[in-house]
Amino acid sequence: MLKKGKKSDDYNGSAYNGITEQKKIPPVPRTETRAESTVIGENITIEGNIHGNEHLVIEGSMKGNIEMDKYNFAVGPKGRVEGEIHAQNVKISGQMIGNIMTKGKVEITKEADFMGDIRAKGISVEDGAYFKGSIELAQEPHRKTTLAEKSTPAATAQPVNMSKTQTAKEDVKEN
Amino acid sequence: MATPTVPVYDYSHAEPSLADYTSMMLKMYVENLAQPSVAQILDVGPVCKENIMYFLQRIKRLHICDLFLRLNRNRRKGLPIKRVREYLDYAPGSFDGINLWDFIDHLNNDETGSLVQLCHTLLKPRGMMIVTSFEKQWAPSQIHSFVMQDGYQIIFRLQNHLDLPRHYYSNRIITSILSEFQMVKSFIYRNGVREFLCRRD
Repeated sequence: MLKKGKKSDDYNGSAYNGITEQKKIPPVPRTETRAESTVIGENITIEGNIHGNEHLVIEGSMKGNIEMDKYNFAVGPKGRVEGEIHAQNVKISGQMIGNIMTKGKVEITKEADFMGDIRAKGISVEDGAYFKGSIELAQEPHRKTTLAEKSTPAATAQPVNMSKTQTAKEDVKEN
Repeated sequence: MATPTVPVYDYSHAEPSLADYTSMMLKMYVENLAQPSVAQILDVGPVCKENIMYFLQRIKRLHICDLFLRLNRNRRKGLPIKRVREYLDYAPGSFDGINLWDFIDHLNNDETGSLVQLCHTLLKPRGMMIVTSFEKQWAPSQIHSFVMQDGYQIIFRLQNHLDLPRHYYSNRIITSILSEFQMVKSFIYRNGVREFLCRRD
């Protein structure tokens, strides 16, 4: 079932004015995540691309690409999506096959079954999630200083020295 | 690659505690990756957010193919376990590094030999592979992820959702399995972890 997230207007709209005249309910502040999200219910199957200007949650089945660069996209625990996703932030709790490109963060929960490539500014993958694919951070990676990076390129390309002077006790002996 | 038959041991009688340790192998691996800014590494799992961030802060792209979970799911569903190489359908010479944390202990010797051969072809020339395996008396009955921390510290986190049989491989067998590689360095720790860092010629 297609559901529209509750809008703040529902709480202070004209239909309630008569009742609330004496004890007026303060308007609920409109928050994007609450007020402007659409849920595709678990009995809905969609084939085709979606371009959106509000947050979207797929609980059903969807085959197609999703373009909503400034909004969040989520696949619920029972959701199945096959396609390419462009969104602000993405949360995957169901099955997803396809690539994800975000300007924000990608969250893969433990229920998820994900196959695809991710490019994002941040990534979180819970233990227990199935993941097959690759991840690349969109931002210039903050690379920790290593000895290899301090040394010359020629030195980094050299094989690791296995000279006998290295601590022999560290070497695993045959048994 | 033919390797001697490996018996399956029952470790359920004792569950030794896994002590944290500082991984010398990880230090050498990270420090000797050629051109880390463009490096691509393959990790076969288990999926671990700390390890993902650890490598993404150092390399260009991290590939993950969680073989632990795939084998575990097939086993629970009673499905025939496909050969591991069918899941690793990457082009030859794709990776600068491959991580096999505690994975070979969960394969029989034929599968382990096949996996290692495949990893050899998946590595770029001079690419490195890290392999860990437990000493028999220290091997935990349950699967833990090797969680990387700063300072090359490794802590262990129990993976309750995984249940795979564990095999024991002697140092001799592991060395034999890895014979196609140049062995860079191997380490053994008091907590029973054995580390092998090897390189494709």
